Amino acid sequence: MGLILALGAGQAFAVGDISINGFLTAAGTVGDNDDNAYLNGLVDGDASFDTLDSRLGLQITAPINERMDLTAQLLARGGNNQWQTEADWAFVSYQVSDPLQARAGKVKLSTFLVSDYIEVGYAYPWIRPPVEVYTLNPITTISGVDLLYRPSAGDWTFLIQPYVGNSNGEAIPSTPVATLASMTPGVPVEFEAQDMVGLNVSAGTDAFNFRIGYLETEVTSDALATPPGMGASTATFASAGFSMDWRNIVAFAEYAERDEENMAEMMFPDQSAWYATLGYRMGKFLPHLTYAKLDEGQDIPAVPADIVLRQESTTLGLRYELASGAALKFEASQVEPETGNVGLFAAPLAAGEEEHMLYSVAIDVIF
Amino acid sequence: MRFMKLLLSLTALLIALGSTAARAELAVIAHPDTAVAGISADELARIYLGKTGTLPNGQRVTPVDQAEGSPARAKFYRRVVGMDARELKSYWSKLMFTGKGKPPQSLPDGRAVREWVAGHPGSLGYVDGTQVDGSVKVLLIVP
Repeated sequence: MGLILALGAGQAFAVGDISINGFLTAAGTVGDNDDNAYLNGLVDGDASFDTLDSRLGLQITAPINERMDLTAQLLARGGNNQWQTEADWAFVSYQVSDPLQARAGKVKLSTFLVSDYIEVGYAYPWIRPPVEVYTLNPITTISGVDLLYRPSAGDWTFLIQPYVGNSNGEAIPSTPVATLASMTPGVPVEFEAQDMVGLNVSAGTDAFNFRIGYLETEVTSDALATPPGMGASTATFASAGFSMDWRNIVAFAEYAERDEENMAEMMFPDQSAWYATLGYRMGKFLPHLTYAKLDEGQDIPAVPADIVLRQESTTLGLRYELASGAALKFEASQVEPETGNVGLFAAPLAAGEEEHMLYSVAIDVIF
Repeated sequence: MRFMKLLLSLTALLIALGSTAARAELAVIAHPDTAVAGISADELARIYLGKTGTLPNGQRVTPVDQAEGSPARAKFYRRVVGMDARELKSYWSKLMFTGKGKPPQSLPDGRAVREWVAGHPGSLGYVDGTQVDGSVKVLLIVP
């Protein structure tokens, strides 16, 4: 293989077939919620440009041979992560046949529709995918093995993606959970997710995509010791989603459920959530509107009902294509936790308040 | 007189447009060893979008692109794949950063593409019709 060097605006470059690509999101947010932190401190009433939304990713792919590639993606995030860099992806892939690829290592967990490219803001219309659904699963990566089987028929391409593995992570307990379980509010709790098995199935054309996903795992945490005689804490995530980009109409809709058992339910109560987004592209402009709702799960909660989070939000957004591979976005969100419930805030809203506003701006670039 | 002048300039304009169109004809080229006589636009689109890595006869194929922003590339993706530059960026950003695929390698211009294709069995490219020579095999003409 020869040496190729092609550098240009918004252009990936390849040296000796090693390719380096990247993405960047620079975002600023301000809310009218005074000292009541939203989304674990994303915004607390002061305008901030160094938020958890801001991030930089670099991806390096190196071919091992004609069928195998090595891929690493480094991610640095702003806000209280202080731009610490971690490997979000690190895997070796093997092209078994034309439609079948096997991967081993660390990959982003594709629990929901945009989960596996959630860091690549350029790839979707919002500044942050609807948080009611996308905060349901605190597990974002998996170490293990997956298969990507992508057959096609006519205009349709299908994806069947089974995976197995394990993960560990941190979750910041909501204020009612922290109070109930004698944890310190705002301090992350470490947990492990083992025996993780899941399946994603999608079918789509260039304009439409339909997807369902299921994931099951055993959750353990030193912060939540399982009393003798109590079974394992099984957590399951089920979701169904749809996206469309057809004749200037852009739409997304997704429903997701989190179902936990035993001790895990103390920390991650059963929840359901959904959202719907509708946008219309006019040249370089894409205005869009999203409604999202976070509610209790299907089961009657076996835990104090107030640890179940309930909120709804309406978001009006505008995406503008700055140049090839660069987008500028604005969003205004009206967030309404159910009266007396914290929703995704640190504390319930003050008496007499029904909603909080959140204003965000972001630039997304891929290179 | 004014009418004649208008007619003349219109004629000149039409001739200019016609010749530009003729020059802008694209040729999809492959290495001369390629064992297919031609290829359809649909098959090409599937190869350039990374949905398949083989020609209809099962032969492995690696496509190459022209530089981003070049007229040949814009025309190829508009006419053959049915996507503009933004749609293409968006399409690849989802696959590239999730390890599901990567876009074809880009070469600076048509000459570089012809030389690359001529020198690499199993490669596929597109060039301006005037840049075709005996070193490559033409599989499709895109008017």
